[in-house]
Amino acid sequence: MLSIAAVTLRTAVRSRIVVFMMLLLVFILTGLPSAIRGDGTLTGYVQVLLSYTLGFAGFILSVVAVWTGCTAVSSEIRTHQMDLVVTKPVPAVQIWFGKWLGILALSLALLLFTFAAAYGGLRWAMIHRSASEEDIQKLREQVLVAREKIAPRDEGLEEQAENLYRLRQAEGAVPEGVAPSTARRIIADDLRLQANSVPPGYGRRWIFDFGSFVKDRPLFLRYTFTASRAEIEGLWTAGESGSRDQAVRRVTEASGGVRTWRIPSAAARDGSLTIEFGNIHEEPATVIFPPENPPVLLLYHDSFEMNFLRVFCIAFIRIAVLAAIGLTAGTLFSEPVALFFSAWMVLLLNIGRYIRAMAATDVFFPVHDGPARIPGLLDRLLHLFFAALDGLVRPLQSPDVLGAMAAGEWVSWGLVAAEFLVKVLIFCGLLAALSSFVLNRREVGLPA
Amino acid sequence: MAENASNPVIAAADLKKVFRDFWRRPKVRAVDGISFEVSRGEVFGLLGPNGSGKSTTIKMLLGLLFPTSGRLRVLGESPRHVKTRSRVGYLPEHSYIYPHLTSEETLDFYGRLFDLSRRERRRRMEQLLEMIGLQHARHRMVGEFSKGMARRIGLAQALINDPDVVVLDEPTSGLDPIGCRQVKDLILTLARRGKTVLMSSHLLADVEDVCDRIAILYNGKIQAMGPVRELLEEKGRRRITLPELSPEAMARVLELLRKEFGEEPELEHPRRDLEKFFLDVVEKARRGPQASPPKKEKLAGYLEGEDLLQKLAAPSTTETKREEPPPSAPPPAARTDARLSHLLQNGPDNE
Repeated sequence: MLSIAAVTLRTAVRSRIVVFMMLLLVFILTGLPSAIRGDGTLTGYVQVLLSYTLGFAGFILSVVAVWTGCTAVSSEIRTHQMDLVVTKPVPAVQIWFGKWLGILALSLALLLFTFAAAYGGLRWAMIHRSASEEDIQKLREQVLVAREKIAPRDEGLEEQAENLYRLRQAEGAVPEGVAPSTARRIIADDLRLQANSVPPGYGRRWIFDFGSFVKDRPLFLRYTFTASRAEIEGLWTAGESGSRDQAVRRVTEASGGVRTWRIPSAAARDGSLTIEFGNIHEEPATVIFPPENPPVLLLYHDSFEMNFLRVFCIAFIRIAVLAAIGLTAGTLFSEPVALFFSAWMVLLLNIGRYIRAMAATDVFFPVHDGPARIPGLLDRLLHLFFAALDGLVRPLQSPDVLGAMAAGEWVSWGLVAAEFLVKVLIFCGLLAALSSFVLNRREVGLPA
Repeated sequence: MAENASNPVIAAADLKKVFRDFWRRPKVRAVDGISFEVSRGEVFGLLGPNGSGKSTTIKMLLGLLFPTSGRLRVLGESPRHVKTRSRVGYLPEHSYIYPHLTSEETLDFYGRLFDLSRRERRRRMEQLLEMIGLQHARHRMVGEFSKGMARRIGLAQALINDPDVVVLDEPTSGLDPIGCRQVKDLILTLARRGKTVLMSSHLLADVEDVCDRIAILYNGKIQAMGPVRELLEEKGRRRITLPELSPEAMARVLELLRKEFGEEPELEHPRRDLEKFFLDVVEKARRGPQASPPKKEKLAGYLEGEDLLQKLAAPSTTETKREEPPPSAPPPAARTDARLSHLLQNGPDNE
C-alpha cells in the first residue's frame, strides 16, 4: 500500500497541471496579501491573509486533490499501467488506499507549506507593518485569539409558533391548501421578526448562558441591525442592573454592518450575562435585529495558534474528502467523465447553502391568481429532489472555519473530531468500499 | 479444482469473450469458444494475426478481462484470485512501466507488491538487473529507455516474484537478435525449471524455437493446436543432409534416388539460420583483439534454482520434455558419413 502511495506521489509531482497549481499557490501566498486592499489596518490585513489568502490557497489545493484523485486511477487504467498493478496480489482496497495516501501526502506537504507561509506572513506583518496601539490591541483581542461563540438563550419561539398555529387552525384562519409546514414557518418567522423588532422607546433583552470563563479577558458582543434611518441612537447595557460592574454604552450607529462591543469581564458572572438594547432614537425608527443573525457573545477560549492548528486539521480533512471523491470518480468512470463528475460534486458541496434553501422551499412556482402558495405536483417533485440532494450534501458541509478563524472565533477539537469521524472514517470509508467493489469488477484490460 | 501436480496449470474450456458497446449490444466476438490446457513446465504459444484473440485470451488469463462464458482456471483457481496472482508473472505487449521510476525503483516497487522482504527484493533486483544487462542503467528513469531496454525491465518485473506461471505477450518485440536469443534461452530455462510459460508472438521463428505446443487462433477460434514438431512435420517426405560430396559420389547418390523414387530429387545447399549466423558474427567480433572479454549475461540465480526453485526443478516432474543428447552419441558429421557409406554399399532396400 505504501509503495503504491509513493508511486502515486511521484506521479502527481510530475504532473504538469499539479506543478502549475503549485506555482499558482506560491503566487497566491506571496502576491494576494499585498494585492488585496483591506481597510488599511493591521487587523484588516491579517484578516485578509487568514480568510482570502488561505481560502484561495485552499481552493487551489482542492483542485490539486480532485485532479490527482481523478487521474490516479483512471489515467493508469487508460495507459494500462494499472494492468501491471492489478495482476499482482494486491487487493483492490489496498490499491485505493495506496493512491489516496499518496495524494494525501502531497496535499499535506502543500497544506503545511501554505499554512506555514500564511503564519510567517502574519508574524512578519506584525513586526514590520506600522499600526496604532488601538489597532494592535484589536488584533490581539479580536483576531489572534480563539473565542467561543455563545448564542442567546432560546426564548421558546418555536413552541409559541406551534401554539399559535394550532390556534389559527382552530379558528379556521389557515387558508385551505396551504401546507402545514408552510403555515408553521410563516407564523414562526412572523414571531421571530416581532421579537427582534425594537420600536422607539422600547428595549430588547438577550440572556447568554455559559460556564466558567477566563476572567482577565474582555467579552465581545457582536451584532448587526437594520433600521429605517441611516443612524440610530441606542443604549446598550451588560450585566446586573444597578450593579457597579454593569457596562453601559450609548451609541449612535449606522444601520447595517457588523458591530462589536468590548465588554469588561467584570460585567459578567460565571454562568450568564444579560444584555439589553434600548431604542432611544428621538425620531420614530424601529430597529430590527435580523432573526437569522442574532447578537452573539464571544468569550476567550484559547490561543490563536491552537485555533490555527485545528483549522489546519479541518482543511486537511476537506482535502482528503475531495481526494477521495476524485479517486472514486476515477475508479468508476473514464478520465474525462471522472473530472466532470468530480467538478459537479465540488460545486454541489460549495452551493450547499442554496441547496438547503431550496430544500426548505415548498412552492417554486406560486399561482398568483389562486390561493396563495399552494404547491403543485412539480413543486412537490422539486422539493423532494432538493431535499434528497440536501440530505446527500449536508453531512459533507463544514462551517466556514477560515472565516471563523479570521474573526477570532474558536474552532473546537470537537468539530475536528466530528469532521474526522463523519468525513474521513465514514464517508471516505464508504467511498473506499464502493471503489474496491467496482475495481474488483471492472475490466481493467479493456482496449482504450 | 484444487491444485494438483497432474492437473493442468492453465485450463480453458469453451472460453468466449464478447465486447459490448455502451448499450450492451454485442460489438466484437473476440474469443469464440476456445479450449486448451497447459501443463506444468510446458511452453505454450498462442499464434495468430492481429485481432485473432491472442491478447484477449492472455488478459482473461490474468483477470484483466472477464470471460463472457466458459471456464478458466489458473493454478486451479480463478485468475482473479489474489493467491493465484502471487504465482503469476506477466509481461504485457507494451511496457506499461511507470516512466518516472528508475530501473531499481521499478523492480523494488513490483517486488513490494508481492510483499517480498527488503533483503529479498535487493537480492533479486541485483540478479535480474545483471540478467537483463541493465546494471549500468539502474539509476536511469525507465521513461528514458529505448524500447528494447524497456522490454528488458518489463521482463525483469515479470520475474521478480519467481513465478510458477509466466505469461509473456510478445516477449521478443522490440529486442535486437541478441536480446531475442537471451529471452528465448530464458524461456527454455524457465521451462526446464518447471515453470509454465504461455506466450504469444508474431515472430513465428521465436515460437518455433521455444514452444512445446502452439495454438493458432483466427477470428477468436483455435484453428490448429498441437506440438510444434507434429504440426510442422510434412508426413511422407524426408530430408537428408549430407556433407559436400565429390561429383562422382553425388551422381551415384542421385542415380540411386531416381531409381528408388522415380522422380528428380530436390538438391540444394542447406542454409544457416540467420539468427545463428548473426550471433556467430557478433560473437567473433567480440572476441577480436580489441574487444573486451566476452561477457555472458547470467540468468538470475534465484530463477536458476539456487534456492526455492531447486525444489521445482526435480527431474521426475519437470524435465520430462527436453532431454539433452546422450554424451556418448557420435558427432553428427561422423554419423552422416557412416550412414552414407552404408547406404552406398548396400542400397536402401537393405536399410
